This record gives sequence, C-alpha cells and structure tokens, in this order.
Amino acid sequence: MRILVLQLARFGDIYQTWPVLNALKRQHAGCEVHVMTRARFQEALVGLGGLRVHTLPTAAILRPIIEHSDETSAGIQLQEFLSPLQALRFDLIVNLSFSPVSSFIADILAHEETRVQGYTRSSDGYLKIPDDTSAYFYAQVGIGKANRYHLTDIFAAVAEVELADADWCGRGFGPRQNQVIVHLGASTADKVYPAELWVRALNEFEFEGEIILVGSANERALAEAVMGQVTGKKLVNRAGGTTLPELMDLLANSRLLIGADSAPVHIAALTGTPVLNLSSATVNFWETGPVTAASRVLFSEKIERLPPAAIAQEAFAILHGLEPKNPVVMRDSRTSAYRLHNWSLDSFSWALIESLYTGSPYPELENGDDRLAFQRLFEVAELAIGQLARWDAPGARETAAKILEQVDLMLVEIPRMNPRIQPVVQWFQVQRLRIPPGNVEETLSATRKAFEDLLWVSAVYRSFSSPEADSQKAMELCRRAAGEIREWNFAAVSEDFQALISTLHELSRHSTKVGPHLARLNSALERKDYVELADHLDYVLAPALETFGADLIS
Amino acid sequence: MTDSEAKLKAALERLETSTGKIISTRGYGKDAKNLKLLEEMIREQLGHANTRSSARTIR
Repeated sequence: MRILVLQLARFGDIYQTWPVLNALKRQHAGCEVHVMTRARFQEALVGLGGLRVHTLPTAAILRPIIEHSDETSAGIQLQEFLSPLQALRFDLIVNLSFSPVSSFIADILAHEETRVQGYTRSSDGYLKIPDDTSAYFYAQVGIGKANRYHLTDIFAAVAEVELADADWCGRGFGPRQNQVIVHLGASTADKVYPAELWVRALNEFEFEGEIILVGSANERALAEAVMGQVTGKKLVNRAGGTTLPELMDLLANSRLLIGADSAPVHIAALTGTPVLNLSSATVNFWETGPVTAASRVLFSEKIERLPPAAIAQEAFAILHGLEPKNPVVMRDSRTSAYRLHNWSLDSFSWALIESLYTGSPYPELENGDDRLAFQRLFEVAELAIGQLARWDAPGARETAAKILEQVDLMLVEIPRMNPRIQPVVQWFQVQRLRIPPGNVEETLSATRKAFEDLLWVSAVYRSFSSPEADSQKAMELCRRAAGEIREWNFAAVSEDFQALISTLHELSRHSTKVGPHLARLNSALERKDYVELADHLDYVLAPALETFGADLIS
Repeated sequence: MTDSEAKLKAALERLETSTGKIISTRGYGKDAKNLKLLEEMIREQLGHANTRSSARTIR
C-alpha cells in the first residue's frame, strides 16, 4: 500500500502531524508513507524515520514567471514535479493542508482507485470534501470559531487513525536536566509577549536551574534585550543557535517550556515536556495548545495583558506540582480535554457543535436573542423550501431565484447579528457545499434536503404557541412599541419590534392577512417613517389583532 | 507592488483567461487542473505568504 500525506502548512502543523504519520505506519504495516511538504518547512520532518519526503518546489516553478513572465515554462516545471508522483499511483492520499493548492494537488495525483481523505476537487473543478472530518474542519475550525477539538485529533480523524502513546515519540531521549526552555518570540507579531514583560516575568520566576532562551535568528535581538535586564538567573541565549532537531533534543532534556503558540509548543508534545503556554485571541488554544500532561495555558484577549507575575507563579507551580494560583487552562494528559481552573467560558456555541456532530442534546437557550435567531433560521429554511418547491412551476423560476438569493443574504446576516448560532449556519453551508455535481433535479433535491435539515435543527428551538396566543403577544408588542416609536425612540423597543416581526411571521403561516401588514411595517421602517410605523401599529395592526384570533382560525 | 508581484499578478490574469477558455471548450481535464493549481500557487504568493496555517479559508 502506498500512502501520500499532504502537509503544506508550517512548522507547527508539521510537528502536529508527526503522531498521525507514526500511526499510519503502525496501522498499515509494511505500507510506504510519502509526505509532501514545502522546502522551507521540511526541516520539521528531520528525525521522523520511515518516510519518503517530497518537497513542493514553489520557487522553481514560479521562477520563469517572475524572471521572464513565462507561465508556459512554469507549467512545464510543475508537470515535471507532478509526473513522477502520478506514476507512484498512491492508494490513499490524506490531505491535511485544507488549502486550495493542496486540494488541486490531491485531485491531480489521485487516479481512479485512489481514496482521498481531505480536500480535493470534483469532476467540475469545484471544491470536494469527501470526508466528514474535513467538512467539520471547513465549517467549524479556525480563529473566531467555537471548535474545541485539537488539531492533532482532527488530523488523526481525517487520516482515520487511532493515536497511541507510542505515536507521539519521534525518538529516544535522555534524562531531564534542571533546565527550563523559554521561547520569547512567535511566528507572528501579535503572538509575541513584549520584551519588558518577559524581563519582569523571568526576574520573578523562582528557579535556580538554567533558563535557555530559544528562537529563530530573527528573535536573537529580542533574546539579547531580555538577557541584558534579567538578573540573578542562569540565562543562556540560544536564539538563532539551534536547528529544530537540536531544539527537540533541548526540550527532551528540559523540565518545562514557556512560550506562545508556536512550533516549540508542538515539539514539546512529542518530547513529553510540560508547557506553560501564553495564549491570546489571535490563536485558539483548544486547537493548537499544549497536550503534554501538566501543561497549562494562560490566556488573555491581548497577550501583552498577561501579568508577568502569573507567568512566574504558574511556571513555578508546574515545576513543583502545585495547584494554579491564576485562572488557567489545564491539561491532565494527552488524551484528556482541557480543563478550566477558576475561569469560565461561554460554551453555548461549542455545545451546539457537539449536538450537530455527535448527536448530544441541544443546549438550553440562554436568552431571547438566541431564540429569535433560531426562529429566523427556521423561517429562512421554510421560505427556501417553499421556493425550491415552486422551481418547476410555470413562470415561477425567476421570482424563486430572486427570493433564494435573498435567503443566502439572510444566512449571512443572521449569524452576523448573533454569532453564537454561527456553528449551525456554518454546518448548513458546508452541507450545501458538499452537494456533488449533478443534473438540475439532483441538485434541487440535495439542496432541498439541506434546507430541510436546517429546518429540523432550527425547529428544536421553535416555540409552539397557538395562533391565539401569538395574536395576543403580537398585540401587546404593538402597543408597547408604538408609543416609543412615536417619540422617535425606536432603539428602546428594537428588541420588541424584532419579536413582533418574528411573531407576525409565525402568524403568517396561518393567514394570508398578515403578509400585507409585514410589508407595510418593513416599508415604513426602510423609509424611517416612524410616524407611519407607529400609526400602523397603533391604529391598524393592534385593533386587527384583537379580532385576529378568531379570524385566523376561520 | 514589487516587480515580482506585478509579474505574478499579470500572469495570474493571463492564466485565468486561459483556464476559463479551456474549461469552457474541453471541460475540467488535465490541462485545466494544472493551470488551476498554478493559479493557486500564484495566489498564495500574492497573499504575501508562502503558506498559511491549517485554518486557512479555502477558495
């Protein structure tokens, strides 16, 4: 069996791929494992044996374009790189890169019998996501999203391997010395803890062993600045002075790593070195945080707001097996989830994700805004299903297409107004994106099925009140909103107004009489004609609603 | 914009035209696949990054 793993991301991602590569070798005994990476990052594979490494020669391929505006030669270079790989006829391609380039490479290198896990391309060239884990990645993983699965676990699921303890170890290591590694820098500026705060943290850190500063050559100046101001500590500056394999050796011999979300954190996962990880909103520690037992994460929205004293205290506490003194995230073992200590996080969106993907019960709604957002999703799904049903009706297609365009806009707008429900919309959008190329009927049917799924999920939170009760509620909302709106104080009753619109939508399911009222309200609102809006609420809609209950049912 | 970026951008525009013509006449076959890959490799460079993290949004 011949397997190709595409890992075209950076050092940290490659180190997080190590356990998966080891597991693939273990689970497919005797198989040939190939890895494609970029030349710039291939050093991260040094030390991992039993692999055949292919480097994507981006510079060589693009050079004819840059030097001579010659894309024909670039195309020839590209084909020269791809042809020998195509000849290998891989049985399995595991794409762990989730990028456009990798999806085209996976498609080009796959032959008829190749199984592809991860992004690839459909027969019409559009993105194809064959496996559920990669679909999950597309929908839920990334900064600002609610995912709490670790990236290594996601990689393992894409590759369909079960990770074992042995998969985390690249090679043998010696006994640990009384030394702590500190990585002062990070891959991007917004992850770097300021030098003056490092100085304070290290000065306060009660530790008599050696503190070794590591980092890239670019971080040498930062290390020197810190070195010059820390007193009474055995500091060694090796920033810019170690290769990645040497850094792995250093970590293997050390008791602790302190640093931001960067490659050393992921190397420490392979050497079993506990980590004190300095994290901020520019990364997602759930996805890329440390996994070694006894590791901790100190989090602040902005990294420069992390108190130096907290770093010193938690580093000391990890080394001595003490309870945390600060709000931290803890990791008890590689296989356990992160545990929050003296800290709480809003978990509603994450609970939604678990419900959507694992079938766990849907979380309780915590506020009216959430209920309203789900109500809107329900209405949008219902509207779309109605239009799709009319698609083949004579003369209806043009209008239906316009309404479906509006549905798409609403699906952007609803999670923008309430990001807490974003996982549901993302999940739905990926379900739609995964619809394969087909004829019109097949596509319509699959699209309808996707909207029906959205409808069912949204219906979980739908309140099933009677038309009479809805009429009564709408009437009360009318009266309450009208007075404030008449005084040009719409902001004070905007939530009531939203609730009214939502209730009227619900009533419109029972009677065609409601639609014109909705249109009139929307029109007045668009024109910001608050007098007309208030008049309509007070003198037209509210009185109508008083008798509505009976009318509606008739 | 540097000279290299200008050349890449111009090449990308030419490639997009060529790819569009190929797909419309011959469908998404071998040539179109290679051209699309080349396009994406150029786009990565124009994004001022040789790579992004795994969490990159796909086009």
